[in-house]
Amino acid sequence: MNSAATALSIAAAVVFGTIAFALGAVRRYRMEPQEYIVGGRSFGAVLLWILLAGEVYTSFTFLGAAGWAYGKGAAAFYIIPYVPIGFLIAYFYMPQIWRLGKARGLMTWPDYFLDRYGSKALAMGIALLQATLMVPYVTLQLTGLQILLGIAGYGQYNAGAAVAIAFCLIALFVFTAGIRGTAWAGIIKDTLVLGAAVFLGIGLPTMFFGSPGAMISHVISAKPHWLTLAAGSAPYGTTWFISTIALTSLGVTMFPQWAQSLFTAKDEQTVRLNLMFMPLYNVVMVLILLAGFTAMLLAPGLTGPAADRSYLIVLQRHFPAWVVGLICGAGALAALLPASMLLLGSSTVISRNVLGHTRWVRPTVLVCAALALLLWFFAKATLVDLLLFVFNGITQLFPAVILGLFWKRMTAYAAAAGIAAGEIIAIFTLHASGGPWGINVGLIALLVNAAVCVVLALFLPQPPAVIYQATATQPEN
Amino acid sequence: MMRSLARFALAGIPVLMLLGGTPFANRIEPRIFGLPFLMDWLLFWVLSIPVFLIVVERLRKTA
Repeated sequence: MNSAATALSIAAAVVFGTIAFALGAVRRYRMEPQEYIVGGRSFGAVLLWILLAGEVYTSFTFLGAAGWAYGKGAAAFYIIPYVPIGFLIAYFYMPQIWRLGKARGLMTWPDYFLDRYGSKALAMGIALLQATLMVPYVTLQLTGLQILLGIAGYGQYNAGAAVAIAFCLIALFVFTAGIRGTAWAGIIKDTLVLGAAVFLGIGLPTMFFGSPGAMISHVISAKPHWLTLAAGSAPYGTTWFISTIALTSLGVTMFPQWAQSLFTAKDEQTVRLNLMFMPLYNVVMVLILLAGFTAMLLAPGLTGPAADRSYLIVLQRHFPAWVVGLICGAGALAALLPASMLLLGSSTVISRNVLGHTRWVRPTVLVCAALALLLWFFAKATLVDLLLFVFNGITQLFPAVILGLFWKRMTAYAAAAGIAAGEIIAIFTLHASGGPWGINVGLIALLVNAAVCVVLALFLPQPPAVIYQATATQPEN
Repeated sequence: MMRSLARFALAGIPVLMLLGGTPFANRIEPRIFGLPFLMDWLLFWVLSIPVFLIVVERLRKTA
């Protein structure tokens, strides 16, 4: 068998095997909406961990992170702390949100907005915002998948067809198996991603340079300033770094699938334990960055999207096809399973919060999948712009969520105005490379957003006590 | 109230170290485990988060 056939078969086996395994694990569950969307609120700590880890490690992890290490050096280090900080902050509010979710039957972020602010229009607006932003994010995963299957095919096959097939498969998988199926598939995916990360981050440098430390020494001699940040307000300098970490950490839980995932927990303590210990899994990021640096030394001069696949190219050149196939299989899962959660998240908010019929969630999965596929076929070029906006756009929900939880003066109008202000600034600064003093423009949008919320809430009449009491958190002490 | 503040302050330490410590940690030497210092710094404080939260959790439970 030639290399491409071997690698593709193995990658396909990984994907099909995972799907089969997950389908088997969930076949005895009746997929009524509560089970399909939030797993019947019965997940224990381990399954929740697997689900969350599965969502955090996406094709950006597998490709983008290494591409940043390859092309930008120390700026890529922002990827190390931002999710852990996001979880640490979430430790202080997510358990309360879980409690509300359980008591009041919440399944999505728009549900929370409706419950807290009493405004159907606001809830629907949030749902549309989230769903609209998720579709291009799914398409990004498809682009990542195309890179991986292209590598596994050694350039001999049209990866486009393979991507379309794989994606249809995943859409059907999500349609059938819901959130529990995605969690079970995560068992295989998380294990493979961890194994791949260890091989790529420790194995590769050791094989070519003797140890990761030796590889780093080579990077330093080749590019003495690569592994430190530029100072202050320079592009990708320390100010950008700090502000970007601050911004992205707040956005982590604002994605639609996060509310759903956390509502699967069987009790509050399960949520806490996961948030407390998930930072440990971020070691994976360090390993992927090391792989990117190794690739930079071994395959220099790649630009653009090729930088993202730099270490895969190294694998192609130096390792047998089965290794390439296995790693690409792991990467394919890293693209497909987050895509599954994104499909679940967007179809849930659309069917439940926009159309008002939760039981339409399953057909909506297929519709969202079709939209993402169409976007991928026809509008890839505009994708980059959309993606810049996705993270900034989603993060703008944070002030309204947090202020709503802890401050009884917050009203729907203040929330809506704040979010709108943040989104408008985010759109207009889409192409700005840095704000004043090099601060990340998304963070500026967020601060303006929060300010608008606070000012309006102070001047507008306080909402009826009934609404706040409905969601008021019980004092814990 | 004081206990809540104590919990926030404690949890704030790794965040402060990760964000505010960047200009200080923005260097290659000393290299630990062969990695540049900035990477070691970030990794150390990230791995410390569960430890801090375990303490915070104990404070929350024994209130």
